Amino acid sequence: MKHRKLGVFLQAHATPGALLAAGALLFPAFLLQQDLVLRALQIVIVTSLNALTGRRVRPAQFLVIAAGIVLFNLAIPTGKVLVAVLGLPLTEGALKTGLSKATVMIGLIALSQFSLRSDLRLPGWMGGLIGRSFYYFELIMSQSRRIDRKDIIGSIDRILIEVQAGGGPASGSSRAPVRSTLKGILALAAVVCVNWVPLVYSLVHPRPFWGV
Amino acid sequence: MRKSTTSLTRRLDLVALLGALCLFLSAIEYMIPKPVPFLRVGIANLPVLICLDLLPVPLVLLVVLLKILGQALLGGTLLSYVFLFSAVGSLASAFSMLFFRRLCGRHISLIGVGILGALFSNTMQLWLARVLIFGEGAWLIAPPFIALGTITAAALGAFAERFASRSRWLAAAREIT
Repeated sequence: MKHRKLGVFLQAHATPGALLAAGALLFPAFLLQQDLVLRALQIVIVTSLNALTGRRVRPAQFLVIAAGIVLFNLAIPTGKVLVAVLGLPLTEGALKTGLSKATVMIGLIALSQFSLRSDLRLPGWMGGLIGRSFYYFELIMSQSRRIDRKDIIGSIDRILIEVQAGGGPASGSSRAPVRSTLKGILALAAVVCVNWVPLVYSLVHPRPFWGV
Repeated sequence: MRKSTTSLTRRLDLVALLGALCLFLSAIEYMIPKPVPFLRVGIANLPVLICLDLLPVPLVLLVVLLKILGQALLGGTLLSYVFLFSAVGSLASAFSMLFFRRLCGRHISLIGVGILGALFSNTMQLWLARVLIFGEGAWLIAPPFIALGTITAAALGAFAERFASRSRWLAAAREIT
């Protein structure tokens, strides 16, 4: 519960739009970062924020994704051979490219998760339709335990009939929109500043790819 | 005039429900571990397969759009590469499935349509993976990626055929449309 304190705070003090705007300001700080170590630090910061806001953080999944990307990049050797494993050359160029792409991929997922809240309402009738879809989704999820493995088609069919017959609000989510408060905006500004520090540092003290 | 407005409202309601079913199936799929986030079994495509014969082309594409946007908003991937992979794969699959179903009608089963959709979707995703992430190494993943996609698409197509023939909900939905 303690983990969700920031999430509860942001839910009460910042609109999904304000969170999205803060996220948009984080993207350049991450994408312009060329220093691998500092980029990794930024990922740790954003992932920690995600954990504090109650998002489910899966480090093992991130590691599997990174390992997959690095391995596939290593398959095409480029640059200096660092070591040969079972006769296969492990090259510096391929390793750099793989690590760079892996950190960008993971970082973008983490940043995107931080920036988006499921109560974000997109404008227009499309936004209303998505809200309606989310409403039905919640109804289906609440009935999901009724899905019988022995009769999957029949049980899904029954749930769909009941959900559609139940109808619901004319449009959108039932959650009331909140207004951003000064506290919320200051908190988001602090998050943005913390993420820009590594980029500013790397611009003032440029280092080689590996950071040493 | 009023009747046609009511009809459109009911159709859009059906689109929202099909979009919700996509999201529910995505949530189930999310629990399946995978080495790269865009490598999916594809069970969330079941509602798209079902609605190929149920809805006109623009509304089928609307279901696909709801699926893409809903998955991205719930998973928080709207601002990442994952969204791009999802959008390109889903749209390639939807357009190809619509094309072949409209072209061949009942001469092609939902299994065939599903396999063709998966082939187009996987090819586009592999091309994106080559450009954005894996480089030339993407071709190494191509054989198992396409093979897995074909097998799961065939299974999903078979499931969709059974669902379409047995579902009472779908029978009622046909009357709405």
